Amino acid sequence: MKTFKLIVTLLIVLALYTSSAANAQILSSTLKSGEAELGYIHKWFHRDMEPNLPTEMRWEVSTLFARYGGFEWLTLSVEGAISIFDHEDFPGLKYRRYALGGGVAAKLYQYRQWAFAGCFHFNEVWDHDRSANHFDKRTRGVITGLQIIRSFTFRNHAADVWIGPMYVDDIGETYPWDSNTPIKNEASDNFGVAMGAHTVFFKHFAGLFYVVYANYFQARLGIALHLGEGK
Amino acid sequence: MIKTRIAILMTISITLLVPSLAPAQVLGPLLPRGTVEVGAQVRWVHRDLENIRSTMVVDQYDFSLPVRYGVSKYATLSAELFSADEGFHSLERDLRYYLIGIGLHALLWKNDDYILSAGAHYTESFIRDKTGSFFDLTHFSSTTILQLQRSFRRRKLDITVWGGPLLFYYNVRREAGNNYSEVSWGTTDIFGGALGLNLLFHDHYQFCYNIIYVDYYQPRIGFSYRF
Repeated sequence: MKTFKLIVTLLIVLALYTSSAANAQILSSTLKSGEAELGYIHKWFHRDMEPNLPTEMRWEVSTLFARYGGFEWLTLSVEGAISIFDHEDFPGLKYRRYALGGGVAAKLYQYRQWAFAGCFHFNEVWDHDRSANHFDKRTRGVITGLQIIRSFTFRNHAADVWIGPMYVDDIGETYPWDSNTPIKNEASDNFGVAMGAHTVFFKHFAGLFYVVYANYFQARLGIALHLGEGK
Repeated sequence: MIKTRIAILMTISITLLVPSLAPAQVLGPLLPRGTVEVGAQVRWVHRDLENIRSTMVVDQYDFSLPVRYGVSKYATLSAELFSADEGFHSLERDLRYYLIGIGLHALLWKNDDYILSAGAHYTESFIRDKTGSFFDLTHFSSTTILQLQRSFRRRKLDITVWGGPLLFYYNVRREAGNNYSEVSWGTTDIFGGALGLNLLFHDHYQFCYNIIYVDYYQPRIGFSYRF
């Protein structure tokens, strides 16, 4: 137990000193009251946008996240990151990224191993260009929908699989050459579906994977420390 | 029960939909294992900064939404997030505002009455200011504190008093938009102290007040819900 606590503390200290983090929506099955997860997630986005160019956008975001089962029926999530990156699509630009987001999932009904939940999550990414070009970028996204969840347990391991309809909206803005007026694009065809899995091995090591389909398949992949036994 | 759930959901939804947040460090007592606090905080920042050529005075208030989690009885993890649109921040001329912070508080020693702990917190905020002088600002701040706390319980009220010496570093980087250049100012005095009071009503509703002295007195006030 002492070793485990030491590992947790070391991981947190490492995370604090890591000079990067980033942004995304966190969707997963709901947690039990008192359970928490601290982790890292990477998300791939791919949307058709309108009315301005480019009509097809791809971007990726990574963040540190925390989820907490505030009540048996309510799970809260937050995520955030600060990172520095260069992108091959934007040569010569020097970006500092601020990414943050938050969400809530509510378990509406449960029958044995089945549950029905509603979820809402938003995220925002600001890419500040510190080069002389001053080509700042901003993306905002909202995802909300319903989830049908099936839970499984096996010895010290647990897994949930879920699927449900989602409304997925993304807005992309570019502020060229220090402009105050952005070139704005919004995603089209925002109704889609999401499905995923959440696993916990040996009660503490969690993995989450899910795919959002809106225009295209967009994957999200995360790992986390699962803490708390539930109340 | 359903009404309570709806009220909590609506409160959380409204908080999430408010398109704004701002910077602050999250200081407070060490939390019991498994405890989570979610709330809001306003703090005043008043610092004297300088570089080789000039001086700068930061005098503003910041707002943030902090989250604190008692990972174990030995450690409390904290984070804060905020984003805001034009006119929210006390500067009243920013077009976009972002704040992200993270911290860790660790137990050093305890007995039946007192807890001694040490904490560190880092916060960074970015202000995209494109009005008037066209300057973007990034504020970096970090706090390290050695803290003694004591708690009392009076009926359904938990009172925690805490305080201790701290190091409060503050740095501002300004970027000129049209003629690209960066200028930074840093603190000269970083040693100071903090004193705080947390009042927890009915095990869930908490009022927090603390004051930091480094350069000047800088009060902070907040409320939170403890799960």
